[in-house]
Amino acid sequence: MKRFILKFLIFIAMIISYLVGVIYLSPIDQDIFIAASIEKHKLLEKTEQPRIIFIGGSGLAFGFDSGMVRDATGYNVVNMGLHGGLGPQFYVNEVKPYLRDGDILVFMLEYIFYDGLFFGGRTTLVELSIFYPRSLLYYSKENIDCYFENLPITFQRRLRGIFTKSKKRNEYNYRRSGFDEHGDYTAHLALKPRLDKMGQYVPRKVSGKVEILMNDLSEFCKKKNVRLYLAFPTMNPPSGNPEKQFRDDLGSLYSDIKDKIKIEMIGSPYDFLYPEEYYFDTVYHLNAAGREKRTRDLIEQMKKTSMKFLK
Amino acid sequence: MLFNSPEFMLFFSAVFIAYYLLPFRFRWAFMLAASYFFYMSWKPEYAVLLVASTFIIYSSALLMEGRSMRTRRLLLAASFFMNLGFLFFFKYFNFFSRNLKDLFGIINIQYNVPELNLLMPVGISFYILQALSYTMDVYRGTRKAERHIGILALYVSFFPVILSGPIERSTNLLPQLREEKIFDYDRVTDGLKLVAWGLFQKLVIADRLAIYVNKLFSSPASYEGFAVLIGIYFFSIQIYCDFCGYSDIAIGIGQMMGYKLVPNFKRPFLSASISDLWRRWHMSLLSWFRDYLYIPLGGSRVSSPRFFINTMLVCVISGLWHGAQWTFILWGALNGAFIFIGRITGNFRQRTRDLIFDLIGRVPMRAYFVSGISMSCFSLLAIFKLAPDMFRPAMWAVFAAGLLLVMLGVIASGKTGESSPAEALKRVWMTFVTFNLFSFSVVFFRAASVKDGITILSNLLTLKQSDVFMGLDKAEFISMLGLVAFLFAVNIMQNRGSIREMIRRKPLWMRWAAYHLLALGILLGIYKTSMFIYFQF
Repeated sequence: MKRFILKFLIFIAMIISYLVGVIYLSPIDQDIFIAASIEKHKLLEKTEQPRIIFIGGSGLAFGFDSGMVRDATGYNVVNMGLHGGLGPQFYVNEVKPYLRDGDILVFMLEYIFYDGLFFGGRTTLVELSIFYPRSLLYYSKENIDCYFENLPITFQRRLRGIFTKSKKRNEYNYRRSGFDEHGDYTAHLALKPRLDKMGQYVPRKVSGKVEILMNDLSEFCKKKNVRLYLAFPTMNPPSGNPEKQFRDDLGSLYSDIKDKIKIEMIGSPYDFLYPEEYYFDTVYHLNAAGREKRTRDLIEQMKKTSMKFLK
Repeated sequence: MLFNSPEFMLFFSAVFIAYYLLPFRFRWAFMLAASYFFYMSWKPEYAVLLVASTFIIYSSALLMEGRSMRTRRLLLAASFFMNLGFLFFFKYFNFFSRNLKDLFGIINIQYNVPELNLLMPVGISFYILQALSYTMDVYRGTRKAERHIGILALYVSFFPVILSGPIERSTNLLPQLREEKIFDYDRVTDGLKLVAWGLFQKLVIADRLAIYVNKLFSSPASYEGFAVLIGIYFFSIQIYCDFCGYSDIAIGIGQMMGYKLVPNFKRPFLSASISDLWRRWHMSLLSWFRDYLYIPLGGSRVSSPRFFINTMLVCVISGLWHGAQWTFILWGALNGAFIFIGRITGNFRQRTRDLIFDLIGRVPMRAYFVSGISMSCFSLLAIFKLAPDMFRPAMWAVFAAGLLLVMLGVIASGKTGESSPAEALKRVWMTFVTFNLFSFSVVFFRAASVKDGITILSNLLTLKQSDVFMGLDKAEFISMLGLVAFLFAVNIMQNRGSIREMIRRKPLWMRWAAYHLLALGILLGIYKTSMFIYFQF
């Protein structure tokens, strides 16, 4: 049996080395969108207090003007919004080690995540570890599960990348160099919108996982003397018959959030429902006009909270 | 815990090592505990059913010994009644209740029996049949009653087979549970290779083809023509790879621990008739029905009407065993009809085939090349888009036929008798027809309703053509075709002997290269931890 186990382990080690080799050592485009995480972590490390840190998905990256918020509030702003594929658990995990006494943290979770979907992330999480191996240190159990689940698909993608010529990029492809100094994605602002309205979905309830994640974060922030706020994402309500159902679902979710999540809220979901002319390519990503309106609305709602503006 | 999940890999690694390290006298208890743990990882409550089923067959078999035939028959009936009662309650109650309600509705009679909101215990259809085969074997005197309840409980719950078979017989598995298994390097590695091949079939072939198949069956009215045909073919191959893959994993892990489980598939798609296909498809289930239902009914050595009744009964029950839906019943009935028609038209079809293929055999070699090349050139009209859209699929078929003729010409040069081109072509034709008949019947196996199945089959016959790629990437579609070709090539090679044995005789570097390719191939599978299709049964 020893001989079998030894040979088997050697074989498995070789297979793992191919897997790791293809994923981590083969050439990769350094301008890939997710690699912007490196700069975002540098921002977290270097941005001086007083500061507000925003965490969330790509809706935050595309539809938020940190400069406007800085000018209005007097706080330095870090926009950590990057990609929904990292999952809510990772958004929280990656920011925790950087929080300092006196920081303000605003959590802006896209609606789709409230029902626990992609809680631990997707393939993006593995891709991020290629550029930013330190991200592995922020993993919790859900992220580890997601990592192993998505290793084979990442291996397949990377392998395909070795053997096929990468498609020529155009201005609509998201890229790392499209972010500004605050972590806002700005490369799309001058482009003509082309909206795909898929994804106008709102769950009716908050999943147990999300509830625990947010309330634990609230406790953590209290201990660290960090003020935590919950902000709502933007959404384009469907028109016609589905609108009533959408508003019912949103109402149900909002009341569930109020019941279950012990975090002060910035406005309500209804303050951030915008018509389709404010969107860029999906119902999560705002265009230039939408971004400006959303930031202005958010600042107005922030004034109504316990947050003290320095200006 | 699915066989293709990381949890199962951890579970099995631990069980495998502990099994061989434990002294023989403790192994049965360890395996029983492992089997119950495995089963209870799905839903712990349903272990009660396993215990009940074990107790019923244990006591009924013990009571049968030394009793009169009448008493034995009564005990057999009691065991069948209770075990099948579980199956009926969990699997069929709602189906029959719903149909009775519809029936009573027609004749205006009130029917207020509520539906049961129960989750069917996984593997119930499999372990109930396995348990019943033991009762039947004791009743028939094929084996003695097992006195060790622990061993019998292990027989019913044996974890490699409990969820989806192969359905073991007491005469095969029970004696093995009492034998001491010694670690045998060759046997273990051979079992591991079988597991790897099973994983490849499931994760790489079945789950990739499922992408195409799911598109067709989730929206049956949206696709027409050639796309439907490909979807139907892909589903036949998907279900084969899914279930054969599962069976290979089960047999492989059994083999690694020293148990020789019964085979479940024997390259069914190379069968030359539907009845032959059914001797090679889900063999453990079909042999169960053959031995405990078909042969007691008289088997095939009966008059044609009686043969029709026997065949239809077995096929319909086999369909119903798969699921409590009319689609499964129709699938079973269609196969029964194919077998019956096959028997009554057998002589006529054979004479016609012999006549046609004898004529083909007389065609000079040169004609194969000339006609083949002409057909291929004619189909260039399609390649260069000179033919109207609606004829293009047919042109591609002509192109393929042309190539086939040229290949036959090459193969046939100088060959006569069994390997003559006419014989080879005849065999290919019979296999092709069988595969098509099976594939068309299997539409009802997968369709959500009989209506959906009919829609799919009628959309197949239309001249309109929807996108053959179904919106998929071309490379993805081509990889699917490549996997199908690979599977058939493997099946043809397996017909000549065990591939694992062939590889074992090669030099070390070739063996390792083959194993590495297989392992890397598995990494190219679809990893969404999808269920095996047969788990639902």
